[in-house]
Amino acid sequence: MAASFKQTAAVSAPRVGKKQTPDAAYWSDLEFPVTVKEYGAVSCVDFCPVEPHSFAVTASDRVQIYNARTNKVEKVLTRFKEPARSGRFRGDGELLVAGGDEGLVRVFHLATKTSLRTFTGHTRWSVHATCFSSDKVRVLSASDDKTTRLWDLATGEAVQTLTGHQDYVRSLAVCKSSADLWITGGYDHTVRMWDSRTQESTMTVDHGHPVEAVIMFPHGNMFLSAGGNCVKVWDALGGGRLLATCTNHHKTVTSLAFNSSCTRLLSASLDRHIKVYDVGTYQCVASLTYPSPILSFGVSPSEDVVAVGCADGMLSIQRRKQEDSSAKLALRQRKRRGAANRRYYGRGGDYRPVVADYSVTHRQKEQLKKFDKHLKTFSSTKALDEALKPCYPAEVTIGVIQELIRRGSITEALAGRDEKGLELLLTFLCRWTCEEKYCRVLLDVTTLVIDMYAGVVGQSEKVDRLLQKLLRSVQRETNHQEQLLNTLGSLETLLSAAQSKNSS
Amino acid sequence: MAASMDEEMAIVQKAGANLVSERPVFSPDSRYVLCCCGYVVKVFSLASGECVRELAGHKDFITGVKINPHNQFQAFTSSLDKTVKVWDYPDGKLLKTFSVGFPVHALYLLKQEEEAGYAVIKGKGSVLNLIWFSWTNRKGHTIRVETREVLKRVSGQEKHLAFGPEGSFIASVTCNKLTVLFTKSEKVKEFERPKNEFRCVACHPTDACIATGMQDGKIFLWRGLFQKKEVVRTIYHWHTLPVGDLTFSPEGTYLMSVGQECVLVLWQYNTEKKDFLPRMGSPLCCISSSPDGSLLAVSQVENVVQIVTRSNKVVQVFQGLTRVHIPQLIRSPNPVPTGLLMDPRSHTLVLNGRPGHLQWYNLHTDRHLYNLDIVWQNFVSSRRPWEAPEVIYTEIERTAFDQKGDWLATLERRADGLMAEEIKLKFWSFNKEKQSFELNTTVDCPHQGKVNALVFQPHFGADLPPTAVSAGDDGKFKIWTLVDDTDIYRENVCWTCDSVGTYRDLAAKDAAFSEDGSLLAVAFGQSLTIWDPYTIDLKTTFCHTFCTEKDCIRQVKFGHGNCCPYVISTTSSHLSVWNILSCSLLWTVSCECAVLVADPLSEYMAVFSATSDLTVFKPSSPDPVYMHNKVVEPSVVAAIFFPKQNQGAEEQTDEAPWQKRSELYFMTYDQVPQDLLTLQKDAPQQTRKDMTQVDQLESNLPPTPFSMYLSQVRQGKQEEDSHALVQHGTPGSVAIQQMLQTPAHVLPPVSTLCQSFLQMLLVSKSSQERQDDEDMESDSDEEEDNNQSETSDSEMEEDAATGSASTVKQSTSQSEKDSSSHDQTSNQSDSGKMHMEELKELSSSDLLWMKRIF
Repeated sequence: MAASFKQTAAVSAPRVGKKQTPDAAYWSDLEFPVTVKEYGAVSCVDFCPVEPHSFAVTASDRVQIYNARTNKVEKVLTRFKEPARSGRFRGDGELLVAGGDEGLVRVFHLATKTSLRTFTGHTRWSVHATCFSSDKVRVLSASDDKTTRLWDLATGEAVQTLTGHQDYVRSLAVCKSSADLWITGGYDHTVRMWDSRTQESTMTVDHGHPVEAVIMFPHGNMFLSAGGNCVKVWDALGGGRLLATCTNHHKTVTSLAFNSSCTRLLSASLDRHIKVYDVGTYQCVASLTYPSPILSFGVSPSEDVVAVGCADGMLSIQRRKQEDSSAKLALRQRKRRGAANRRYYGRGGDYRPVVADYSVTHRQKEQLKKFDKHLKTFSSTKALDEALKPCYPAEVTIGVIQELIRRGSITEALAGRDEKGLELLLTFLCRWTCEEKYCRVLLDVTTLVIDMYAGVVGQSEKVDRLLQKLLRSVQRETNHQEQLLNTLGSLETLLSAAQSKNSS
Repeated sequence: MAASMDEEMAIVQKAGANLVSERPVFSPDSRYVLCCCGYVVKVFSLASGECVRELAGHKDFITGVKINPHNQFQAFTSSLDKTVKVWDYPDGKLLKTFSVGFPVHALYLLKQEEEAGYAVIKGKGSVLNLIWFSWTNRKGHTIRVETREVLKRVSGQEKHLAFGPEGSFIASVTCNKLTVLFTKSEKVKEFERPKNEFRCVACHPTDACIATGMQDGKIFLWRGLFQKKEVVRTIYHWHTLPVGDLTFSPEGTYLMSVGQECVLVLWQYNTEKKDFLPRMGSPLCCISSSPDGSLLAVSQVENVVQIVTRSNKVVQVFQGLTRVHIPQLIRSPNPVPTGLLMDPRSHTLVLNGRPGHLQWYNLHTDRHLYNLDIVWQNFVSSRRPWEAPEVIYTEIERTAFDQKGDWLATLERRADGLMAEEIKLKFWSFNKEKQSFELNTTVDCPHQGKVNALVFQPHFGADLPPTAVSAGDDGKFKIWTLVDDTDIYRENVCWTCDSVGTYRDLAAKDAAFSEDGSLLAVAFGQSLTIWDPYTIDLKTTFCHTFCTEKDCIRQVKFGHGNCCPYVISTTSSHLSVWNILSCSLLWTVSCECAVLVADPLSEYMAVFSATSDLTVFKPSSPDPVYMHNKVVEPSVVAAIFFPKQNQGAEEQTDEAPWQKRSELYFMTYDQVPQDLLTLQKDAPQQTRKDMTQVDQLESNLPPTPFSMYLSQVRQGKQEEDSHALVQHGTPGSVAIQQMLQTPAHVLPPVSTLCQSFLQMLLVSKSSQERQDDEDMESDSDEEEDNNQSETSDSEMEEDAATGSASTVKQSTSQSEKDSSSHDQTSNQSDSGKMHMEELKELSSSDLLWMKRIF
């Protein structure tokens, strides 16, 4: 067989600015957010670790449990007399613990909404961080009284009271691989690691800013702290060595979370952004923007719901776009109507050839785009018409136009158009002629078109309107260029003056 | 100098001969294909694709080759040297030669006539006539040839004449006329098409039917020739461009036609059905069918013969140096805009191939290796001239390899003068797994207008990223560097523009790097500017004040080796050499330079003038080393110094010094197929030797490419081994050579060099001493040294505690030797004399050099 037809390549223009990373595409592939007005600033969002991953939103004096599928409030816990803080699920999703400004730590049974325990050790000091230990039988709480307390769930008594922080303790995270290990972050700029088997903190690192959030990797070897505008990564095995610092935010970072597989770190900040980092390199790979400063957020373990709580009391719930909507699936099934006969047509499909068999390989037929098929048969007008269809991106269309120029059949392809065909062409030219990366090619094409169709001006209203539009856009561009040249000229004068002064 | 002038060197054609001037011919068993190729006929093996024989002996162009219909192992060749030769082509032996008396333009042999054939000869008044000739062997092996004129005023091309079934009629086409001569009745019928032109003719093997291909793409089938009524004419019309060639399948069921559309068309005889084999790559000019009809040989104008099966599969490709410049395709003044290059990795020649391709060509085996598609565009043939303007192809204008061959930079440009120019700079990286180049970066429109130079910076330090420079008519030169483009998703490197330099808004005509890559010379108009490539600082400027205004610098080259501080620049009227160290003009001569090339392995340079005069010189002196006036008739468009294959294996004394390490190849172009030529002495013998080796291989082995390769590798290895046994040199001579080769301005003072030099010699000596102690003991003069060595030996046997002492002693003995060696040069003491003798043994020439210093 002779050489195969070489497909027309799309014109590749150099991209300026940020590159579209696969991660950015993944994190922006969310539906339009559902926003709910809460009663006050949303201080904590926590997803239930078990299906169906409902989430607890702590705002003002209540903790609300949302259904992640319907975005509706399922349960409301309103035992708090002052603002509630840090409503968090236990690992099995049956209990929830919450602190509050009244200094109490409450444990609720979610099925019955009853309050099971109330720990009253932090007298009148607000409790900003609470958590279940990873063995599920103890509760940790960090309070503004500079202490961290470990409570036994069965007896309801404080097992340990840990002192060491010099200022409010505002964040808390437990190690998932060990029930005795957790870290706290305080406003005294330190992050301390604690072990329930000793009274003292086993490790202290200085973050440099009041610590707003801490988080620990499941393996417990590394932990991160957020405070000020930076996120710091610490190596626990290496004795608290600083591994990396991310300063991608420009205001205080308020919350940290991992994605489900712990390969990406997410951080939210008062600068209204959520940034996504790769945990191998700590490079920012994606960014999400919200309308107001973010206090807390959560990502569901299945990564299909992102709930973001803002300082102005708005809760935004975003769901991942469904890849296969039911309508599409139905269409695909209808196309395969022969499925009833699949057994007949697919018979012997799992046959493995034995040594004596002569196997005839089926040569896959080359798939060509429609305009390539037209180019292959040298029908240039049809190829251009096909490429001008709005379903193709501009790069592809311009690739086809260049190929026609190379073949010397561009005039042929442009000539002899009726109103509809000319409209299609002029719409494309209006849109892209003044684009810098394509104008080299398209200016010539536009000139050719105008030369060719000068006689038809006034015959069709639509074409006239498009020609006027084209004229306007070209005029706008020339004005713009003129201004730029003026600026450039004045700048050059200044620069040369400065240079001559320097040299003298 | 005078001596070198006397040596006359022969010009040898290395590659580029035309394979496709005539129809290729299959052997009756379809094992071989015979192609006319200049003065020789090449016999290709169909199974391996190798050229297994060359039938050489004619003294002029061969115009036809035919298999003897009565002996399938014999082939007849006709030539413009007025002879017809008979060959045993499987063995490559010449059997008979007989003279026809006139230049033979075409040869036809028929099955019906024994010891006779037809030939087209150029008779008196340079008219081409068809003659019948017969030969008879007489006693004493003299051959008598009888001739009889058959038809007057025919065309010289093979495809313009055809013989009907069993020779019943002869069809000849000339311009607008088809002439049919009936051989029995000797009647002539003539048919004229006044507005059309006949291009080719073929006769059906069994029917009385003639097919003619026309200028306007139509194919006429003429039937009923023997009837008295009007002949019946059928028209087959698919081709839009002139029909290139026609042939019938041996059974007569198919008619095959080819043309410039690059499509092979198969017409079913007597039906309207046709089949196509599209996109053959380039315009097709000849076609022939194998005797059993299973294979077709299709010749392409770019010097390629493809063998196609009846199921439209290409099974074998024979190709010579791809004829880059096909007059029908590209009308540019230079057929090889990239020039001749050497791929540093494979040591093969790289140059423009078919439109949009680069070709790799092995000079030593004379084989085309592969094509690399650079532009990745479909080859679209032009339409009829009155319908549409000619298609202008994207051409590769500049190509460069980096030092190791890891990177290839290409620059392609398409400028038709109507639409915007298309310029692309592409960087290709070598993929070791796939053993081919892969596209890494494409830069769209790197310069406005023509790009005149593209070079890589030579690097000796490995830590610097690869760098390339491009210079264009827009007055800019741009420095491109490799940068890391790795992110968390993939590892990648890409090329970006690092910096841009300009000089007085003049067009940059050429750029060159110094041998070590530390300086960049860019030619701007009349000025030659020297830049630091790392900082883009203008270091200095040389100006050709003695030239006229319009006389711009065309080429810039740095000297190599000892001549590295010199820059050579050529304008249309002068060749000048500048010294960078003193920033001055060293010398200048007035000559019209067309091509300037430098030998990368030595300091020699060669320049071809516009009238093809070759001058070889050293940049350090204006005296030419070698001159050769009017090397070839057509103009030289490109040249290269190509390193020799067996580098330093044996020094042939009869070679000129400038040819010792590299051979000069050059390419000519003058509207005829370009040839690749070289200057050599007694070269033909050598090539013949090579051929006999291949012959032996061919007879012993099944002809598969792998077995050929394996045997060649084995042979090569044996040769290498034998060389290794013979080769031995003086110890330390490498270091001496290095010292001598280093340019003088880089060398430290001689007084500092001397000690290390002597020490180096002595250390090697002492090690030798230890190896063969007994030899030393026989020398009576060397008692001291002897004692030393004995004591050292005894100490070695002692405990480790005294080990340190022994080393101290040894070092003292070393120093003693040093001092004695110093003495020997000044005082000529006895021991000194002895050393002197030994040193003489080592290398007398080095010693002379040393003596001179002292």
